[in-house]
Amino acid sequence: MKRIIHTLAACVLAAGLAGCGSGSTQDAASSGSGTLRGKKIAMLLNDQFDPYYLTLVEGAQAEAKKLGIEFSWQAPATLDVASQTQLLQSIAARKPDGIIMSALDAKAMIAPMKQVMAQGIPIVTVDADVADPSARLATIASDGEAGGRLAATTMSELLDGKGKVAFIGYTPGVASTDARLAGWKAGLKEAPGLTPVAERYDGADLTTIAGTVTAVLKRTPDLNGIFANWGNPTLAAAQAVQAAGKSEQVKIVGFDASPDQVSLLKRGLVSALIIQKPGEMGATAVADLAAYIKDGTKPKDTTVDAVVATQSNMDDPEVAKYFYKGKQ
Amino acid sequence: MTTGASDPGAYAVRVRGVRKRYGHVEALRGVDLDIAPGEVHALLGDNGAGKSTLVKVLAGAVTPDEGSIEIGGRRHRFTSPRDAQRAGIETVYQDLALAPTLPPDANLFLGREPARPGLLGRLGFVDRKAMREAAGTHLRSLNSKVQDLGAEVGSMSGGQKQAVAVARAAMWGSALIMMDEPTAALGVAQTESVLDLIRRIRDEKGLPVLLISHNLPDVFSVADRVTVLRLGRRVLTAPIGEVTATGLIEAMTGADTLRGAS
Amino acid sequence: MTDLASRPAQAPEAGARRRRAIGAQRLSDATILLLLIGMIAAFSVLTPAGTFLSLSNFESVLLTASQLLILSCGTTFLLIAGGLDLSIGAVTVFSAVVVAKVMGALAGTAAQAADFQYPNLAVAVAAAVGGGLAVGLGWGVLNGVLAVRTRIPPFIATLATGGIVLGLASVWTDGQNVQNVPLPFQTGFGLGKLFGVVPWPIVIAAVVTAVSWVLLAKTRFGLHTYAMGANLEAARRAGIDVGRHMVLLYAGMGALCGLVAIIDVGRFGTASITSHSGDGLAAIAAVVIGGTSLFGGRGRISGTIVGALIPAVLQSGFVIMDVQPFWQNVAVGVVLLVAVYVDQVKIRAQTRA
Repeated sequence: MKRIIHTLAACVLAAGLAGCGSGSTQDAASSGSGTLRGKKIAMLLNDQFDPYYLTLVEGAQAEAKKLGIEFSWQAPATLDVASQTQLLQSIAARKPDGIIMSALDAKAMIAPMKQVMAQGIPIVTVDADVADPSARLATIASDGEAGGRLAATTMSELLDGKGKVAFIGYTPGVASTDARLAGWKAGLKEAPGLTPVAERYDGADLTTIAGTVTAVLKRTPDLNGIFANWGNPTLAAAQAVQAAGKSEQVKIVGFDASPDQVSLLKRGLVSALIIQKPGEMGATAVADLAAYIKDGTKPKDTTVDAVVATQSNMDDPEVAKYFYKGKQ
Repeated sequence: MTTGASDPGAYAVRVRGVRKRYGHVEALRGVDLDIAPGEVHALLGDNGAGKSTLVKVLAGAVTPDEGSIEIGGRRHRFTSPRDAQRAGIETVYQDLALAPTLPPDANLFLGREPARPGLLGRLGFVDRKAMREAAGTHLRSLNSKVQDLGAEVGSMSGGQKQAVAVARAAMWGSALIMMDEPTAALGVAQTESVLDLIRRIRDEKGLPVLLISHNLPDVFSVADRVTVLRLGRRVLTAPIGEVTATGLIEAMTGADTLRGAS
Repeated sequence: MTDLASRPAQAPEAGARRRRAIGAQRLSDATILLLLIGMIAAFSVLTPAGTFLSLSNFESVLLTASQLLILSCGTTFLLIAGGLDLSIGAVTVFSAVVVAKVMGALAGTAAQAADFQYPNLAVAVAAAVGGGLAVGLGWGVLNGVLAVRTRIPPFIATLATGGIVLGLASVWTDGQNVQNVPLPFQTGFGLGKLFGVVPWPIVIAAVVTAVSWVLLAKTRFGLHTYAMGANLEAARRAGIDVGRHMVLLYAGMGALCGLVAIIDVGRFGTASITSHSGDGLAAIAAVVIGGTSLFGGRGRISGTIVGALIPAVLQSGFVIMDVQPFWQNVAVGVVLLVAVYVDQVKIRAQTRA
């Protein structure tokens, strides 16, 4: 039901705003390298709203500007394989010199991506890869599994290695959710004192997630920690824990670093944030593609690591620089 | 009561020289109609004779190009159905215009619900008890078989629905009740009950009824006088005792013109 | 004069028909309440003592249900009158953005907010609350005018406005949660309780429900709402200004979205673009489960209360039983089918007449 309205609303949105999320930078005339002048790189995003992806775009955009490449990005109106395939094909039809994308489905996207590669357009995946390495040139992954593992380690430190912990995710089947969960589970195995008691998925609605967290607290009144897999669960878990009067007892480890998550960290309602480096991923992807376009250097797969922000290190510029960009 | 008296004050409703043109079509070409107090007056005519336009003029749904409507000696000009209702004319449409999910009392008072006394009334609270009691009294006075005032009108039989619609018109009408083909969709027994209701409105409430019908037996059974329209003109008005079915059909189709033509 | 009641030919048949219709009505009202009680009983047995069946969980369920209940009250009026609003989730999000932005901007400078200082808090909260309600109302009026003037079916009209409104909210915020909502608004209101007992969102939902109940059941406005859904032409001929009435209903719906937005910002301290995406259909589902007819003219707030509580009860029960929430969708879907089927039976019983 949610899915339908979401899809419908998004369709109308797409029709209303003609192409919804898209933008481009055309600084090809600036000082860049001669052979890259006029080259075009297109980026295919999963979400035009998430600060994570917006930060990814910003990193890519800055790198493209530096190299003098024309850069544009687009996001599908709905998060499904069909619309991503369609968008990929329409972008390929415009013959860019390279495509950066995040695969919505590790298997289903292989065929359409191979088709595009066969047309001579190189693809580099960022954030979410496909199962067949021949369907793309390289992948720049933010290691979700490492992030999940880092969350478990951080939780273990926060709880002195002992306690009951819960996982709140977006929806199963999404590559990033699954990777973080896998890392979280692997990390918990190394911290035998931590007992996983719940694994919930609740989409994006704050009220719904808060209701679930509240019920998890009912089921396990002596819960010690919550790993909130992305932005909204971090906010909703903080609210639910606060409303239950258990802010002292329950430590929350969030994922990502949007401005309101950072604010919760500052106020101590969230104990730690696992921060990916989407800006770095975007920049690396553009640089790799540029090198390939220029002289055929085949890029290597890269994994960008994550950092942990806590109340004690959040004012350190080396950590703070990874907080996602928020517009006011 | 049913005689064609010449004193204008003797008529409840007087229509004079009403014209209505739709583009090139002249639906009414100067129609006169006199309805006496407490009579059942049948309005007959073939399709396109101007019956429904005349009814709409009287109901305030159509504003005539020319002509006048007098009620109780006072001239009126209707620009909306609300005007006609204020002047005391109520219409029972063929579709009955009932709210099927509401009970009879709410239908009788639709748009004119009694308010609770005091502050609550000013806040829009309905006095449902008063409404139900008044509806019950009224329906009983018409000898209506609608007994269950709590049931949805939609769950009732066609005859009962018709009874509610007619009762509503009788409740609010003070000058004239118009009924558009009230028996068209009904069986024999139900038709008879509606005709009884029409007589009761005339006899108990003393209200004149303008009955639009295709059904000649109904007309002969219940009407006191009859008017025939043809091609936008009145071709006949006569007491029912002075006409025959054949004569009426001839008047409607133009095969012959009896007396009374204008 | 013949006594019409004494005609034996039709009276018994009509009586039976009427009894069937009324029977179906009572059946649906009672079955849905029984269903809810059954769910609560089942969860109480299946979960450890003191978890599901506890006063604090009762409060949690009400808190979760409060926003849906408020939206469902407005939807009850609309469905009864023959209207429909799919844009309520988007209008709620847009209003929440207004509430959060206004409050953040007026409470103090960004630097002050960074230190959690809000010198103009009272003014900011008043302006934000007023602004949120007004903007919700404004979108509601637009929906109403579209429904009345353009004759575009409300399903399409509000689907379109929903997309437009959400799109505008996304453009305005770049799709990001709105920051700098004053903390005291969250701690005092969003987490606050009346007399330290009942959370404010529940209080507000209760007041909205009570007012809706009285308005629908006791007033001229309520009766006219039923009449419009039952037979719009009849309502018009009865002198009811149906256009104005319909615009008022949509406007009220919009204002309720504004109210939900205020609660949302209070609870979460932010306006989230991705929230409320399913509210339009969830509210319709709750209202129809509660016995309100999709075909207009019939419905009650009492049923809506039950319908709006069912998803929250299922969520709480399933989480405590550690069942994944997809089963909640399955259960709500099944209940919805049953409710609409009963509605159809009622309509058929009626149109046989």
